[in-house]
Amino acid sequence: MTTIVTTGRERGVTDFRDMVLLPVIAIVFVLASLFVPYFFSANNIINNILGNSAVLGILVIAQAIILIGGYFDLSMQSVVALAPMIAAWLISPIGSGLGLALGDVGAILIVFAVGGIIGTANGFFVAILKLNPFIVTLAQLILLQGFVLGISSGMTISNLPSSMTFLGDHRLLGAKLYVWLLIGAFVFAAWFMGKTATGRHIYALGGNAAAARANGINTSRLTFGLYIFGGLMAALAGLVLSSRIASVTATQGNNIIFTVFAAAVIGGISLDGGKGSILGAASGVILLAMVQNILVLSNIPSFWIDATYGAIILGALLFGSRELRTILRLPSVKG
Amino acid sequence: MKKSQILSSACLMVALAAPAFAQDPVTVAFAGAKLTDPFMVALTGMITEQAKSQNANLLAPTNANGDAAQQFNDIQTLLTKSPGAMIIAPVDGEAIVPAIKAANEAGVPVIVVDAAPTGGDIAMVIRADNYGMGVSACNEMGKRLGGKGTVLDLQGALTSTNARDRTNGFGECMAQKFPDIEVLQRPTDWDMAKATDALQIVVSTGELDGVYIASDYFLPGVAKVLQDANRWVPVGTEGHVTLIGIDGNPDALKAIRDGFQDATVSQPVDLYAQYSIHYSLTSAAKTDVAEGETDHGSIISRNEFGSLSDALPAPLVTKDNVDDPNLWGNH
Repeated sequence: MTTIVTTGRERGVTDFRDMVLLPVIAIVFVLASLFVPYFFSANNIINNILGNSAVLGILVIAQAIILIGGYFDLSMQSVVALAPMIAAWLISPIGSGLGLALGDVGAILIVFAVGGIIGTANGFFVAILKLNPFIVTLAQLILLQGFVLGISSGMTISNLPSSMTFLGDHRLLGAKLYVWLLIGAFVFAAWFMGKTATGRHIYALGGNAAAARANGINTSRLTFGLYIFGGLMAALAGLVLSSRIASVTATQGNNIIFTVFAAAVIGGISLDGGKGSILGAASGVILLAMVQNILVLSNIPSFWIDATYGAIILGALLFGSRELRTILRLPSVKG
Repeated sequence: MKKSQILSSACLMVALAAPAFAQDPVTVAFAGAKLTDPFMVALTGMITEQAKSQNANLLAPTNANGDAAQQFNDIQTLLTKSPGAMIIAPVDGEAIVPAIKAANEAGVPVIVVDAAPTGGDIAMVIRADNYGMGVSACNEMGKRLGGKGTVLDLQGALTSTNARDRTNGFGECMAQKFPDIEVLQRPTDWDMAKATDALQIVVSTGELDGVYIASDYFLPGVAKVLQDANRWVPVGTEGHVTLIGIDGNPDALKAIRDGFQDATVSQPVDLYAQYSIHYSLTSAAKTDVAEGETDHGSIISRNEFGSLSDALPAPLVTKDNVDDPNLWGNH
C-alpha cells in the first residue's frame, strides 16, 4: 500500500516539477515589465534574453540529458574554450597561430572533431573503464583548460574565419541565427527525450541501470553515446560563444558549469538521474537569463549583483520545494 | 712543499673562481598572478626578454591562476631556490603580505609590480596609477562628449584593486567635473562574454554615447556588439559611440589607428618589465635607490604603506600619438 502511494507521488512530483518554474517566470516577467525600463520589448526578449542564453541553453540541454541518464559531464566548460581555440589556433596567421589554410568548412569540422574526440575519451573512461564520472570529467576539465592555456599562451585570438562567426553574423526574421538554433535544439531535444525509444532508454538508464540492462538495453553503448553527444554540444556552445564575441579567449566558458547545473536543477532535473524534462530545463535557462537581463537593465549597485543573483536562484529552489510548502501549509502549484 | 703546493693550488682556484663568480648573473624569480590575462602574458614575456638583455638569470615564472593561496605556495617554492631577488605581481595586495614576509625572512629582496601590498619589507613597488588612468579616461571622455550624454563603464572584477581604482577614478571624476553625463556601471569579472552581454543589453535598450572599457581586452566583443547595432562607425560620424579604453593593447591601437576607438590609456608594460629587472639587480647588489625624480619620467616616493614606490607614467593614446614606438602595444 505504502509503496504504491509513494510511487504515485514520485510520478506526480516529476510532472509538477516540470511546471514549477512557470509561475515564478510569470511573476518575474510581469514585475519586470511593469518596473524595469526597456524590459518589455520584442528586441530585448528575443535578442537579449534568448540571445544571451544561447550558450547556456545548449550546454543545459546536453547536461540535462546526461544527468537524466545518471551521469555528469563537468568537462563541457573546457570544451567550450578548447574546441574553437584549436580551430582558431590552427588557422590564425597571427600570434601563436599556425596559419594553416584549412578553409571555412575545415574550421567547423575541427571544432566538432575536437568535441567528438573529447566526448569519446570521456565515454571510454566512464562506460568501458567504469571510472567515476565526476572525478574523470573533473580531471578532464582541468586538463583541457590547461591545454587551452598552453596552446594559446593565454592570448585572445580574433580575426576568426567567417564560418566561425556565421551564427552571430546573420539574422533570420529579426533574430540572430543562434537564437533559432537554441529554440530548434530545445524542441528537438524535448521530442527526442519524450517520444523516441532512445529517450526512454536514457530515462531507464538513469532511473535504474541494472534494470535497464536486464531489459536488454545496451547501457555501455548508451553511456558512450551520451558523452559523445555532450562533447559535440559543448563544441557547438563554444562555436556560438565565439560567434558572439568575434574571438576566442583563453578563459571563455570558465565557471559556466556552475550556471549550467543551477539552470538544470532549478528546472527540475534530478542530480540522481532518471528524473526531469527538457521543458523543465528550458524553464531554468529562461529564468536565469531573465534575471541576468533584469540585473543589467536595473541600476543595482555593481557590488550587489552577484548576491542578488544568488538570492534569486535560492528563492526559486525554495519556491519549488514540496517540503517547504507542506511546512508553511501553502497550496501546491498545480502542474 | 706539499703544504705550499696545496696553498698555491688553493690560491689558483680562488683566482680562477673569483672572476667567474663576479660574472655569474643574479638569479631572479618571478611569481606571476594569472597567465590568462593578456596584460600578464605581455608582462611575463617582456620580463623574460629584459632578464636576457640585463644579464639576469630568470627562473621559470610561476602562474598562480588568479588564486592568492596558490601564489603563496608558488613563492614558498621559489624561495627554496634562494634567488638573488624576487619579482611579484600579486593576485591581491593584502593576501600577498605573508608571502613577502616569508621572502624577507629568507633575505630575498622583493620587487612588486602592478599592485601596492599593504605590508612587508619591499625594495620597490613598480606600478602605474590606476586611479589616475580612470581620471585620464574621464577627462578625455568628458571632453569628447561635450560634457553631456550617457556612458557605460564596463568594470573589471570588483575584487581587484586595480579594477576598483579604474572605476573609482573614472566615476568620481565624472561626478565632479561632468555632472551632466550619466554613468552606468556594469561589472564583468574580466569576462569577455559578460562584458559583451552587458553592452548588448544597454546599447539595444537605451541611449548610449560612450563606453569606458576597463580593459582593451574586451575590444573584440565590444566591436561585435556595436557592429550589430550599426554603431561601429568612425570617430566623428553620426552614431559613433565614444570609446575610451585602458591597457593600450595591439587591438586597441589598431582600432585607434583605423578611427573606430577614440583613445586608450596605455599601461607602461615595457617599463614595468625593464624596471622590475633593473630594481631586482640593484636590490640584489644592495645598492640604495634614492627618492625623487628618476631618469625615466617618474617619481620615486614612499607610498601610504611605507614602501618605496616608482609610479610610472601611463600615457593617453589618441590618433595623434598611436604610432609612438615606445607604446608596448606597438612591440
